[in-house]
Amino acid sequence: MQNNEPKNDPVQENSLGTSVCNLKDLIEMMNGKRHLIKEIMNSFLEEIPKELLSINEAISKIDFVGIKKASHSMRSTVSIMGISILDPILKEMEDLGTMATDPEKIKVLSQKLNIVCQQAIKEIEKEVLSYN
Amino acid sequence: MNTAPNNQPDTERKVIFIVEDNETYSRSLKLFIQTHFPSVYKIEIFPIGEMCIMELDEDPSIIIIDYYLNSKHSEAINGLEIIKRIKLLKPKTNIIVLSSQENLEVISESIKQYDCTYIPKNQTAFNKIKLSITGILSSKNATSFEPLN
Repeated sequence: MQNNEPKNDPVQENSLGTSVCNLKDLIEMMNGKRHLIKEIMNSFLEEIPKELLSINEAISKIDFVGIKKASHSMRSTVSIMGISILDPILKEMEDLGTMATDPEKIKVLSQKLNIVCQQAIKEIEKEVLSYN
Repeated sequence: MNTAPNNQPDTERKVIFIVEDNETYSRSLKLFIQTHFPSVYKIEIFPIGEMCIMELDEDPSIIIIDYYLNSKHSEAINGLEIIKRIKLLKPKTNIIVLSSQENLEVISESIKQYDCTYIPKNQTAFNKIKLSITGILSSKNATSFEPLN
């Protein structure tokens, strides 16, 4: 496989062998109330596939405004689950969308985004089960 | 007679509006406020500002509004325009503006002209919102509040 990524790529460094979600802040925010934490995790599981779909559709249409808006919105969603690895990726996608430039770079970033999101969904699904 | 301890904010019949088009974020924020201010009478979420304007008769003490409100509803009016309308109709409403927009110059107009508190959407946002709500609810007659950053 061709590897054009820089050595310090956080997604590669993480290798997705460790958790991408950090629920510490969420647990603190909700004073550890399990039913509230579970409600928010379920909201994340509901919303993130829709947001990924929006972003992927915008990319396939090279709709820069759509890319910008979807990336911007997703930054809020992933911040709740403490997925800090995605913030620089989404920020770059948002900036490229704003500048309406470099669709190839956006595609590369979106591949990382999709990998991390799938991993995050698995982690949160597992976490929700443990809250039952 | 108010028998509440001095350090307890006055939350009697207080209404808080959240104007935010990101569902996970708005639900989290609502649950966070409910958790930390359990006596707040009502917290309502509006995905677009126009809906919030229509409900201003409820006299919200605080409106927490995202600066960008057209991520999911492309026809939605932006946050600044909504802030202008709120201040025109209910000038004493305390407004907290949230945004992950790093360009503070864009946000500064709303802070300067409309006496809002700006809180960046980052890891410390919820705690800053908590401090801001405590400050606003603790000063019953306050019409403004110092920005937190």
